[in-house]
Amino acid sequence: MAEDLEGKEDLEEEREKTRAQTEARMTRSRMNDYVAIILAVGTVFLLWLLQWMGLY
Amino acid sequence: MATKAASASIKKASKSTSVFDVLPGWRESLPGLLALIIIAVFAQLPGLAWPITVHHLLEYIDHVLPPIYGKGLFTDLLHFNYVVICLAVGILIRNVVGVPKSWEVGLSYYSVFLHAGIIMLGSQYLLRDMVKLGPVTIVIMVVFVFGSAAFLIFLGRLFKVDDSLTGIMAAGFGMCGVTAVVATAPMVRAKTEQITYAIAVTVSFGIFCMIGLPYVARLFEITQYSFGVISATGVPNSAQVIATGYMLGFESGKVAGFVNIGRIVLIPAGALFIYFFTMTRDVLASEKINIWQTIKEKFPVYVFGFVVVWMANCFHLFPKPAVFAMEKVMIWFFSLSFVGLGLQTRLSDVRKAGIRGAMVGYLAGTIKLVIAIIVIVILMKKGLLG
Repeated sequence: MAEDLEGKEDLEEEREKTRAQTEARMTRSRMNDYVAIILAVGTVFLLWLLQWMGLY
Repeated sequence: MATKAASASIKKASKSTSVFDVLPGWRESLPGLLALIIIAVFAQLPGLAWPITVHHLLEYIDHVLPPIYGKGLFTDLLHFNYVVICLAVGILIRNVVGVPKSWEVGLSYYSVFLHAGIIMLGSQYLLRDMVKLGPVTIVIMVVFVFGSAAFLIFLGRLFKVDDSLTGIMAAGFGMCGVTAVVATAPMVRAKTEQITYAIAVTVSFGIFCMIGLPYVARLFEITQYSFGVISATGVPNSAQVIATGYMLGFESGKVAGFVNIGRIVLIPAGALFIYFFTMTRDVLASEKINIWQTIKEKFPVYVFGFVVVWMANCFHLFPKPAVFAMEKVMIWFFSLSFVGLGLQTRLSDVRKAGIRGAMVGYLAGTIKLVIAIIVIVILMKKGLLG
């Protein structure tokens, strides 16, 4: 009985650890997405602006 | 006192979970980012007039060596273009020389360059390209995402692989590799070591695809367009999809990137599909999953960036010279991401993947790839694909 309870606690702890780890990865991945959007859309705008100004 | 302590801990907790905290600092990232740029410049950045590159060295070796069947070894027979060179240089540095610890943080930005490249891919497409892509490609994509996930779950049960591991491998092989594995892991209650394992299996399978698929394409005279669709259907990771596509040519790389967007969009639906098929009835009954919340959480937001750039191009907001310049910069972003992908590729992952789970993954991945090649070649011959 006590072993069962301990096993359950271990399992819950493991799950919590995984949840925290995947959440951190997902948050980093989302931030990477935002940075990529800023970088790409910014580059597109800059290239368009330089062309509009007749620089190339 | 206790209330003060509690509020302080809540403040501390909320501070530690801020989204901005997850991005590493500029100083820590600089060595890795500089390494990416310098290696890419020395490997070959198309359009950059820099004379000392690995590409030029290989051309020189081909010039010096006697030709094989009248062709150069590296440039004509082994097709060493900028994608292969960037990847190969990265893989060599990681696995032969080793990567300094100070680079690791900056290297984690390689997916930013990949996603930035995908967003800029929007500037190379018009509405007619979407129409050309047509319902056939969309149907292929949907059928292969859900079909391969279901097939892998079936194989996992047949070979008695753990349900959670089967679930994340189904996500990795069915959708787009690492991102899908991480997105699905908490839903199917996967353990940390299972996530690492599934990532190792999908990444190592992708390495074989990157090396072998372009030769298969040349052997069966598959068109660039069809090869792009095959890459996006059969290769697990997004970075590897685009690298495989660009290995055959610019057009196939563009198609692979464009079609892969469809697969990325399917991540939330795929994750839910896998959750409902791998979890036992008891778990499903005890947990009430919020479908809308899941879709919102798992949706890759950079797809919106692609849509914005693509729409702007559809309305002809960018003049021709700007579109050409965007194409160049897009390739530079991809080159940086390929170097990063190479530098993150540990060949020891292939060994680490172990037997049973890897066997199920490789088997499902190979069968999916072979079916994809057969289906797409038939459609190509019938004129239903470009």
